[in-house]
Amino acid sequence: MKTGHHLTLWQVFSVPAAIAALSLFGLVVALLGDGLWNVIGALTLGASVIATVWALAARRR
Amino acid sequence: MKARTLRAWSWVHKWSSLVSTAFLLMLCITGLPLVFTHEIEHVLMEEAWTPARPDGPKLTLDQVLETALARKPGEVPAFMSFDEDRPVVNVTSVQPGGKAGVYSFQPIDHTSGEPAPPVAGHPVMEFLLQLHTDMFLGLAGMLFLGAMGLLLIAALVSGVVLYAPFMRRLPFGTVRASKRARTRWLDYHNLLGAVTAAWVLVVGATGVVNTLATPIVGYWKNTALKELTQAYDSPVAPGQRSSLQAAVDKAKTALPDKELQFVAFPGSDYSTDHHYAVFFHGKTPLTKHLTTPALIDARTGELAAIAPTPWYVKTLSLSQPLHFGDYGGLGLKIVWALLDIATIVILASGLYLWLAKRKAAR
Repeated sequence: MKTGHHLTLWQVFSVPAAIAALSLFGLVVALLGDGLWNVIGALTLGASVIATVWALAARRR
Repeated sequence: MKARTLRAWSWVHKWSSLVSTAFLLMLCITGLPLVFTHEIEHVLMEEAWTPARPDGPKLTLDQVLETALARKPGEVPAFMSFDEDRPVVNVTSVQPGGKAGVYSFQPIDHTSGEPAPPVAGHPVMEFLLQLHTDMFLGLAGMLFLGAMGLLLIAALVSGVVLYAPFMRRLPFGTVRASKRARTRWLDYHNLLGAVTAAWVLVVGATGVVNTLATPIVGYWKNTALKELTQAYDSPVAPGQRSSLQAAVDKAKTALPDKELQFVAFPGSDYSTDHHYAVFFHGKTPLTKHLTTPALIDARTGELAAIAPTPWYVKTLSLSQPLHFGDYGGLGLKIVWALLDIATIVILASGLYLWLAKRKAAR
């Protein structure tokens, strides 16, 4: 751990905010469209799952 | 953030979570199979069935209704709905003045009037749904779970605020797996909380809206539909009613670009005491979830009004798919289930962190 070095608020929240935006986009497009839009909706909402799997693999220490 | 502000947010996070966790765990656990209701019922219930006269003429809806009610003496019709992929009409009937939530549901072959095998409403799924909706406590149970949903939102907002001080020295997603259990589980809790926040907010908020279904529909009936009912003092008796088939035909003519969804009979939850409310939905993915009723005077058979639903009923209608996750195919349902499991881990780890901290403080 790098002690003394503080992340800014933006650094703390940028990735969660991006995931939240993708999730909301996915929730809405799957509602507005059919077919391909449902696939896009599932994938963008699934960004949260993908980020979790990535973090568990890459950010484990 | 000042230490005092931080303590206040911690207090909100701790108590909103502690009060609601048991109920939220119940909702997440029962919700998990409910996401796949359609698939589960398909496996458990689907049997080969063909209508008695596949190419023959269909019975009128009045004949279907008469046949259905003859099998349930003493009951009155509440709803009639229509299967999309087979010629089956579903008649829901109730005992007059009977207990809420007690009803008969009969799928009927539209070509013969014979009973058709049910394809939905498996007892196990119905039990889970009832537990999830109101814990078998009716309106009070629904509103109570709505309050738990509001606490979930409070826990979520306070959790986001507290995320900042906890993560000031840790890059996103860090899991200190080699540290002691409390540290490790705090990291899992923060990671899962951060990635699921938007979804939990949407499912939680729409769940709260769904718990308000009864007051929302009641308010709509008592305001927008009120003036339609003022011409009459007493409810229309079953013997005085005009033809159901003619009412549905008239409604279809009034709303030609929409799909027939269901009929609410006079005196039922979704109609007045004097009208057949014939509900239609749109044909696009979005408008499929939005209903418009045509109200047919049940004495005269005349079209009384097309009643486009106000914003609060539309909000309720759109809250259903966004809560159930059943609107975007199997892929979306699988993501829904994974996020539901993640939420279970968040709730359980939150409880563990509280217990572990208390034990350490002793």
